Amino acid sequence: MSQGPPMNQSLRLKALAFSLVMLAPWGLYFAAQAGDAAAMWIWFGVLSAGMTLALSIS
Amino acid sequence: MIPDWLLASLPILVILVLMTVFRWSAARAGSAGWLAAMLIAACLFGADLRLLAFAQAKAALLSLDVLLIVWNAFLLYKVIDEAGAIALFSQVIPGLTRDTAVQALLIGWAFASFLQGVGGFGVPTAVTAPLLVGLGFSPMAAVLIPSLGHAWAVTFGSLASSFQALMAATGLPGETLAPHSAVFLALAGLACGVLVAQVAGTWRGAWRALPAVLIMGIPMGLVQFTLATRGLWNIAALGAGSVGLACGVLATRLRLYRNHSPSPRAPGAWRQVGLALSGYLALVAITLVVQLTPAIRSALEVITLRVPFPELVTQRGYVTPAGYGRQIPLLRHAGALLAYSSLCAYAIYRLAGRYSPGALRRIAESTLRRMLPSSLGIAAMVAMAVVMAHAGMTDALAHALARGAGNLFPLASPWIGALGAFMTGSNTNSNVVFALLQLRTAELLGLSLPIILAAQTAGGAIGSVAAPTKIVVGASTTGAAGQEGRILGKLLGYVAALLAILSLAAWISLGRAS
Repeated sequence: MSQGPPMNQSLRLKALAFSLVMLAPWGLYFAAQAGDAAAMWIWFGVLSAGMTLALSIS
Repeated sequence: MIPDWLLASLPILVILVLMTVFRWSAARAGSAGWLAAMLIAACLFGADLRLLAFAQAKAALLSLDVLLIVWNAFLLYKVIDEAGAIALFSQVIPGLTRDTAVQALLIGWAFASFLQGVGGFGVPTAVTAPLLVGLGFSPMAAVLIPSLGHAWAVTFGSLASSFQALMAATGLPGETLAPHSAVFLALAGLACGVLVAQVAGTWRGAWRALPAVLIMGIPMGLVQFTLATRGLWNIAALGAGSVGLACGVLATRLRLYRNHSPSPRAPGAWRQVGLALSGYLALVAITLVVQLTPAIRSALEVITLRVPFPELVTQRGYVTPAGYGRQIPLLRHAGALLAYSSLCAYAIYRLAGRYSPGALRRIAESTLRRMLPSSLGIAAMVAMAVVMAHAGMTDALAHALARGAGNLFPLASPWIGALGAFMTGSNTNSNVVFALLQLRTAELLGLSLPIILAAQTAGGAIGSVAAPTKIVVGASTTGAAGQEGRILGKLLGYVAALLAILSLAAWISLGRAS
C-alpha cells in the first residue's frame, strides 16, 4: 500500500539530497585548495541546498 | 555575555530538542544542527570560508567510512532475511524449552544479540518481541526483554558500525579502543541477562535462571572480547550472539530446566538451520581469511583513499594540525567485506532455491528505502561534529566539562554517551557527536583515553535502546501502541541501573590505570 508513486518520489528526493550532501564537500575541497572564494560560495550553496532538502523531506 | 561553552553546545541542543520534543527524524534534526554549527562557527568562533570548506570535505570522508559499513550491513541482513533465514530461526528457537526465564534469555538476550550483531537498526526488538508475545509474555515484557537483552551488543553490533564511528571520530585505532570497550560491554551484558530474567518473571525467577545467565553470558562476553581485541570487531557481536545461542541450547539440557524441555524437533530441521546460517558463515569465513592472511590484506590495500588536509587556524587562533583525513582501503574496508559476504550469501541461497521471483529487486529497494534517511542523518551529524571540532567549539565544551565535573568526569562519561544515543536514537550518532568531546575532556583531565571512550560507547549502547524511536518500533510490533510512555518509564529505570554499573567500572578502571 505504500509502494505507490508518492513514496518513490520521496525516495528520489532523499537520494538527491544525499548525493548533494556527499558530493558538494569535494567541490569545496578543490575550491579551497585553489583558494577560489567564488567557487567555495557556489559549493556551499549546493551543500546547503542538499541539507535544506533533507530538512524538508525527511 | 554568553559563555563560549553555552554557544558551543547550541548545535547539540538543537538536535536534542528537535528530536525529543518535536519528534523530528535524525536527518531533519541533523541538518538543523549542521546549520546551527556552521553559523555559530563562522560568526562567533572565527571559522573562515576555507576552514569550513576543508572541514566539510573531512566530514564527507568520515561519513563515507561509516556509511560503507551501515549500507552493506543492512544489505547482508536483507539478503539473508529474504531467503527466509530469520523466519526459520524465529520458529526453531522458541521450541527448545518451556521455562519462561530461559526462553526469555534464549530469544530476548542471545538471539536478540545475534540479530544485533548481524543487523541492528531496530531489528532485534522488531523480530523477537512478537515471538515473545506468541509465547505468552505480556506486550510490555515482550518489548522490555529484547530491548534490554541486545543493549550490550550494540557497539559491536550492526557489524561494528558504532565502533567504526568511534574510531573514525577519534582517529584512534581499533586495537587501542577495543579492549576496554569489550570489557565494559561484557559486564553490562551479564547485567542485561539478569535483568532479562527478572523481567520475564520475578527476582526469584532471575535467581533460578542465574546458572543459564552465567552459562550463556560468560562465553558471550569472552567471545566478544576475544574477537574485538584481535581486529575482528565487525563479527564480535555476531560471534558472541552465536556462542550465546549455542550455550543457551546446552543450558536447556541442565537438570534444572530439563523438565521444562519439549520433545526434539523433526529430523531435517537442523539441516535447514545450517543452510540458513550459511550467509553468516560466509561473512565469518571472509573476515577471518582477510584479517589473518597478511598477503591478502596487503593485496586488498592497493586502492586506498587518502586525502591530505592543510593546517587550519580560526581567527581566534584554534589550530587543527595538517594531516590525512580518514584513510579508507576501499577493497579491504569492513564495508567491502560485507559486500563480498552479501554476494556469497546471495549465491548460496539462490543455488539452494531459497528466493522467490523478484527477490533481488526487493532486497535493493528495501535497502535503499531504509538506508537513505539514516544516511542523511549520519552525514549531517558527522558534518556538524567536524565543523564544531575544527572551529574549537568542541574544545570549549570540553574545557567547561573538565572544569565542571573535574575528577568526577569518569562517572559522567557513560551518561553523556547514553544521553547522545537516547536523543539521536543511535550509538553511532552518539559516538559521532560526543566521542571527540569526551576525548578532548579526558586529555585535559589527564585521564586514560581508551577507558573514557569505552565508557562513551558502552553508555551509548545502553542508552540507545531507550530511544523513543526504538520503543515505538517495539510497541508497534507487539500491539502495545499507546503504551510507549509506560514502556519508556520502565526501561529508563533498568537503563539507569546499567549505566551506574558502567560508571563504577570506568571509575575502578581509571583507579587501576593510574
